[in-house]
Amino acid sequence: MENYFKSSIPPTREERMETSDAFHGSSCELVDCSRCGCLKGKDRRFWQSSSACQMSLSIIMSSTIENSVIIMHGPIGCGTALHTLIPSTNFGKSARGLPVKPFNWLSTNLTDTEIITGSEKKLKETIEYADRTFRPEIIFVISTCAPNIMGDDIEQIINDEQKVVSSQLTAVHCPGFRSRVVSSAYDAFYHSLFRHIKFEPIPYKDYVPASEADGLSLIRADAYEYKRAHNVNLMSLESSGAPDEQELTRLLNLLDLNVNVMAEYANSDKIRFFSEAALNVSLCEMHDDYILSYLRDKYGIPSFVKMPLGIRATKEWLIGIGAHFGLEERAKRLADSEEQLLLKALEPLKEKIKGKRILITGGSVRSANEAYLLQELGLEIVGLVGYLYDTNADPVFDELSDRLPELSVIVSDQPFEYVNQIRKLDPDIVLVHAGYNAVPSKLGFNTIPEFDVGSSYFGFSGVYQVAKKLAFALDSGSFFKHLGENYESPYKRGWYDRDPFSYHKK
Amino acid sequence: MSEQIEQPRTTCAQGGALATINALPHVIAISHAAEGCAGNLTNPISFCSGYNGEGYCGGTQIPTSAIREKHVVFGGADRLREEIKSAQELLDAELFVVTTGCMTEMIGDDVQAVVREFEDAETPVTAVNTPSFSGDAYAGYEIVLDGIFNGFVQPAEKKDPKLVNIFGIVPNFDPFFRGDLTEIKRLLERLGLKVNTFFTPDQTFENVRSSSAASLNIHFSHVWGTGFVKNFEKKFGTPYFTADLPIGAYATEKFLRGLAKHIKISKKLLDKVIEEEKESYYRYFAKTVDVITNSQFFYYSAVVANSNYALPLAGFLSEELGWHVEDVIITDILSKNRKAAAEEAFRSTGLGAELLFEPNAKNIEWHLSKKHFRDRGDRYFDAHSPFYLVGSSIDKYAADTLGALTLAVSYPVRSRLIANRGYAGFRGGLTLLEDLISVPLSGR
Repeated sequence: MENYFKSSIPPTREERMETSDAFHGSSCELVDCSRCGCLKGKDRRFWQSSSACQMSLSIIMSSTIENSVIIMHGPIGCGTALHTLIPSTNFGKSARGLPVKPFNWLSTNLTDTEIITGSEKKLKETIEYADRTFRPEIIFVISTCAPNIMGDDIEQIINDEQKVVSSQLTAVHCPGFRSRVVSSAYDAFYHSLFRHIKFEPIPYKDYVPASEADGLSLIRADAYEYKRAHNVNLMSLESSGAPDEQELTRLLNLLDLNVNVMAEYANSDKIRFFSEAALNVSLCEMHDDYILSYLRDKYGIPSFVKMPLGIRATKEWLIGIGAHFGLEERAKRLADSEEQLLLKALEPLKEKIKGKRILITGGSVRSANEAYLLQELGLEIVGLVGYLYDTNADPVFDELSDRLPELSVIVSDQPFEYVNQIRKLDPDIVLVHAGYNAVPSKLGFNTIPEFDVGSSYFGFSGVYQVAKKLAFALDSGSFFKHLGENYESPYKRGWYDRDPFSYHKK
Repeated sequence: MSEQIEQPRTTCAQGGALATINALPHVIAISHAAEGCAGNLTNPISFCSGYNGEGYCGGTQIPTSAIREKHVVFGGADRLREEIKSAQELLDAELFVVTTGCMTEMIGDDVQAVVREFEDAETPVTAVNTPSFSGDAYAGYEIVLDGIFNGFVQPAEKKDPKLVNIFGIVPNFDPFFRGDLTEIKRLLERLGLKVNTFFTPDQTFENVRSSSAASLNIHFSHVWGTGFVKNFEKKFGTPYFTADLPIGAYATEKFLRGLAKHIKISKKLLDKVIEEEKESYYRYFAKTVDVITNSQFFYYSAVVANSNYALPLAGFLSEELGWHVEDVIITDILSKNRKAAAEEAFRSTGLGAELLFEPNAKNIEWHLSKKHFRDRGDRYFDAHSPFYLVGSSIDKYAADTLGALTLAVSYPVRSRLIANRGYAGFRGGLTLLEDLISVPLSGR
């Protein structure tokens, strides 16, 4: 992968691996298909605007970084989603105890003139304006479709401008048309970080270098080395909130590990310590493979990847990380005692939700793991929809095909397919990717979010919170019932009788 | 060259077009653009006007040609054709409107030609060109109106002397558009008129079809849609009457009497309706005066809003609440001609405030904090305090700097939920009064 790291523009997921957004079958077939390379060609005759683009995730990730400014390099509409993303990242900052300040962002507002004559001058002016007006630590230039079609050399501008501004300057390259899978944004964001933002502590700023002349400094260096050997980078997800980070940090702290949550909600000072960890803990197979490879290649940091969702998975997660540090027995004891506490607390909730039929929809890896959690809670899983798929998820779906071989798996983020399946499957409740709750709710189905950054899903406390959410939602049925009875569907009545995959191209 | 812009209180032409189309009854947009365009625009459209939601088939459900790299190279017309065909089979609509994004405009797809192939389709299809590099959301609104009303709607056999259309209020970018239109409709119906609002929940596509039979277009904008209502007049012979959206009793009476000069309304009925409405208005208004006067809820103020709403708001604060409106800051991005039109409208209000055209949040904050500084180290100092900033959700930071109270009424409104709320007319004036005064009361 090394040549990708050196290239000025990051690769899309399609360039690196098999990807899909249109599949239905069993998890076993999905993995087979991924391995034999038959996923990519799949297409539809009808598409809806449900999958956003690389830019949308890139701006979510960038806007979490403290003391930064975002410059949307494109026409005026690109990035206006920031109007609502900023209140939610502000909420995230506040939940993590970080100060909430006005978040500044600008659009280069490309118009006909720049489309014809080039946008370099305007971008330079905007960078300099942002630097002197807001004095940020980092400026993210988000390069959208238009400058990419025009062929502007954004990286050259970044290199030139870095000489005249005091902020650290970087560019997130995310032309939406180049990738069908928004997960390309994770790579684009991390590529922008390691390419232009400092990843290593600075001597005399972050530490005093050890010297033979100062005996104490050698002792301090040893002490630091001991600490570093117990540092864990906990890789953030857009779908995990402060309560999740707190729960996982709590568990790792109980093993005497130091946890740095990276890179969302970090700042330039924290990012310099990205390289100072003994282990990178990633919570999602599809999220971090690019940055994990980079950190392994460049700094030799190994990684541990697993989603701690559900009791069994959380225990395995904790014990797996413990094993890396030679603390397997301790981790096992901790996991057992946490499990005992949880099981007791869960009893009354499980009574209320057991046997309910649930449809799981959302991120592929997330959905597969959530299936185990829901099974542990005694629910019956009627189907599983993952929005996007790539090769990274193969091991997850391998495991799923062992554990739940009968389960039908769909890869789709298309509302028209979704409403059709929901009506046919008629579940008691639907687990829905955040932002997509309205469609099934209006159809009259109980819903709870598949993730919600305001509450806990991961770890032991997460299991309890999910059970609580399910019990609450299943007990507030009239809200959804009234909605369903008064909903006007935009889809023709006949659509609900047809095969939901009628618009897949053969 | 246009300038860079900080936190634009608008979005692209396609965004404005999609917002307008989503708000029309059973009209469905088809976005001929990259898959992300309409998807990303879901945020600024569905969540920035008091969480207005996706609607019938908006937001994430908008059909899209989902242009990819290969289409950028080979053209996207075939993909669009396929999408329209599928939409015909799948979706219940009265009209499909194809909108375009930057990329499809840059690669030069001829959407009008594709749409012509669907002349005999079950659901009619029309197309509008909405490249974002040549206009913002407000321009998108104008383009859609032109495309649907002046392009698709057929001339009526005869005019209905009682029928009026309402234009100029921009869906979502005037966040209270539904409530405002509902109140205007209520008042006009009391006067015996029939009203096409197009964007309120009571409307059907028949209102769009019948629009050419209207005897008058009421146009609540000095800036947006002027070209459109002129074209409408040329095409269908319907004259237009441009007015400020009336807020409160004083402005609404003035508006209704002004309207009577443009369409036939019985003088007796007009007087009766105005008298009854005013009586009811002041009975409610008077109830609030106890707390307003006892607690001295009178403010120095600045209005920071788009050109449609800024003047009506400033007028209400000044005329009916007795506030000192120091600044009227117009935040939409206006060409020279449009600025001149807004300036002219401002002058005719007779407001003593300073008028400023400024879309950038930081410049607004600087302007206000330089002008209304909180102290000067003097023993006696005529500080502009207490201060109230009536603006958008972005301006709360400027209000913090000023030590001002603030209420978000202008796009983006993300700190409030808006369902059927509106500020127009008699009832709307009372609602605005409630909202404004609830801010200083909220700590009690």
